[in-house]
Amino acid sequence: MSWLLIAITVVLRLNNLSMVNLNLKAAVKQKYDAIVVGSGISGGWAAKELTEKGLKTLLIERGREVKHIEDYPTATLLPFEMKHRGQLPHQVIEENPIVSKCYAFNETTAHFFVKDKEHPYVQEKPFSWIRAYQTGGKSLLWARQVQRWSSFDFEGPARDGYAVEWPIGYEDLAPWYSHVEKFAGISGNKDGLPHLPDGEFLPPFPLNCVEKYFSEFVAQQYKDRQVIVARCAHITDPQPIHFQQGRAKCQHRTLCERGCPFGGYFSSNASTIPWAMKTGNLTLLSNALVAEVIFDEKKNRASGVRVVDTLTGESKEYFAKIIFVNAAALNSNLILLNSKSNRFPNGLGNDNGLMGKYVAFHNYKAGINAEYEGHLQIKTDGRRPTSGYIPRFRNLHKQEMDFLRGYATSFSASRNYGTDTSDIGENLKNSLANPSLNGHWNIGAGMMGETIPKITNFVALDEKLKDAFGMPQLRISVDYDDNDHKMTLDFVDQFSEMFTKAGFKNLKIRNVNHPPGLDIHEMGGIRMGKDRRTSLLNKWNQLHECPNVFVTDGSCMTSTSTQNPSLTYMALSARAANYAVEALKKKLL
Amino acid sequence: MIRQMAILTGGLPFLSGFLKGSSLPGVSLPFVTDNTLDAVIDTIIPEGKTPGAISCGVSDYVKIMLFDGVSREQNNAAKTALDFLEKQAWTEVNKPFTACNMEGRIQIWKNAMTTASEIEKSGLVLLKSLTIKGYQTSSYFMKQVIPYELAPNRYNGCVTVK
Repeated sequence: MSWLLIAITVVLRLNNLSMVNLNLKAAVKQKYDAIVVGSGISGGWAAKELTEKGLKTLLIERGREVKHIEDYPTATLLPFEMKHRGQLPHQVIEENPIVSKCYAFNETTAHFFVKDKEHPYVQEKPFSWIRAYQTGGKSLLWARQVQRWSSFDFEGPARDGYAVEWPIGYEDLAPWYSHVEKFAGISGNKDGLPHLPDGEFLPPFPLNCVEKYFSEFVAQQYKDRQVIVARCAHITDPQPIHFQQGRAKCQHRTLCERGCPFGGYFSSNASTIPWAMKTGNLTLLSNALVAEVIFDEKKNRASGVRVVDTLTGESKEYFAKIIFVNAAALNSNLILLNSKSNRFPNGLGNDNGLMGKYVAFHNYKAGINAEYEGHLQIKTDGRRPTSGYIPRFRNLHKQEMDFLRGYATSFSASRNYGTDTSDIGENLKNSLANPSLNGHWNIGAGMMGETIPKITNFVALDEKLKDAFGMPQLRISVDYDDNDHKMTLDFVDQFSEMFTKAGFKNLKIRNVNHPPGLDIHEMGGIRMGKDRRTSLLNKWNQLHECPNVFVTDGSCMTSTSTQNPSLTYMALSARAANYAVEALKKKLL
Repeated sequence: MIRQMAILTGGLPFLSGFLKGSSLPGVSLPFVTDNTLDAVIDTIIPEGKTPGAISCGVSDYVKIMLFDGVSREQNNAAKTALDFLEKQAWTEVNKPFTACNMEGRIQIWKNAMTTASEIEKSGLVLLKSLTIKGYQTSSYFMKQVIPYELAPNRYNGCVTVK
């Protein structure tokens, strides 16, 4: 009997030893130079820069893998090849009241969006949180507008006394704007505007005749305003760097949100991730939710991340010298707030208690539609994946209005065909087969206003509610304020005047009553700043209190300005990644 | 009596077809073929020298949309509208809508548009808009009537109208 016990004990010990060995092997395998959390537009850039510089990098994506081209199932479908001809079944819309409000959510794109029920959050105030969990994240779905920030934007908080002072200026980011623009492929016109600096542009898409007319009219009548074509991340004249990525010229399909088989617009999937993969230094881990960044109290630094396999529920840990958190603005807040330790009981790097606070976004509360009966001998031909753009003109050089900051405006004119559908039978059939040009142009403008970061606009962890993976649900408490309302009124007033003077008629004001969020430009909560007492990140996007953790997505934004923010996230990510590589070499991290 | 039965039997297959909550499979063509609906679609965009809505496959699209593409209220309005058309046909010409010639069906439709209740009219408008969308997005229309360019590879902003 005793021999049997001894034998069993030996076997168990051997088993334990082999388990230890296995774990040791696993631990060795799970060690990287760098971890990047999130494969969206900023995470893709961090991964590209780090791997190019030789760092073995683990890119962790909470969603499924979406490979360029082969995982774009609707990219080349024609309407009659889709069951509902592009429209979603009513039940899908009913079950997804939040994401259904997004302009891009339809039968051709629904597979790229997070569904409401799958990933719940708490709306302390109404907020439409639009998310995309897969390789590339929202970079597959974005509007591709890429206007640089200027010194007028970076200096805004200091000049006007809100938020905190940015720790960097335009001159710090300008070379990194150039760096990412050359690689991504940006079309645009060199307009010579100090408040919307020119970049490394490929040829611009043109304004059409009516847009040019309005541009010239505005230039004559309003010396402080310019109507230009919006810069966008589309390849109009592929350069060797684009061919090396396997990308080609934009084909003007304007079906971008389905994924572009030509790689005509920039996405992580088409560009940065395959580029990083080619270095041999990238490992992509999909279906892996980062629950927390692990803080090593002995070494006084972050040592890795704990992830939950979203398919099996298994918890795993991965380790690295540096960690880039790029989970998208609000989810980066969630991860760091959930990264609690004895040293950081309120979240990693959150000594001042400001993490999650000062969240801001863009004010899209109003638009104006109108008709124009001039230029009727002209029409357009083909399609264009961008629009006109009117940079901010309010409070630009000095404070002059009863509200802070201002708004940029998207602007477009289109000449559409119409059909008389009043009859039925042969008459209707003939009418449908013979559409006629409308007797007017359709004019549209939409505001994109800067909102002021406030401590009262915040996100926080819910103390009780958790998601399916055990993560605390995010409580979102973000709303418009009086500054937004005043700015909205001014937009309506100014564009009503400009349109009327230009001869546009039948003005219709679009008052958008939906809550914040659908701009999909939520920013802040882990803001950059000069002072560790009032900000979370330094000028290199490092957590003040844990410098081997970098945050370079929208959560790092100190203020929002008016420009679509993705280009700035890209530039900040590339800049921070290159700094991190140099700092590692110098053993500063 | 015969008329009432015809109305009833005319409505029943339709009711069992795309009434919400039915247990019919949801793929491809989950409906019992409904003659009235097809007749309406054919009336809105008829066959002729060129293909009409039926031969363009619009019937399948409309039935799919009525099954799960529209709200329960819209689905009910469409059903009510079809019942109303049948009722009008019996009232005006004493035979089913499906038995009328094209001229007669068009007249019944036009009369119905002026006499229908609000819900019936909304159903008629829905059926018409679905038929138009189905026709305009059909393979025939997008390839041969007004060719759709999947990849135009151009934008000209100032083209003179000829």
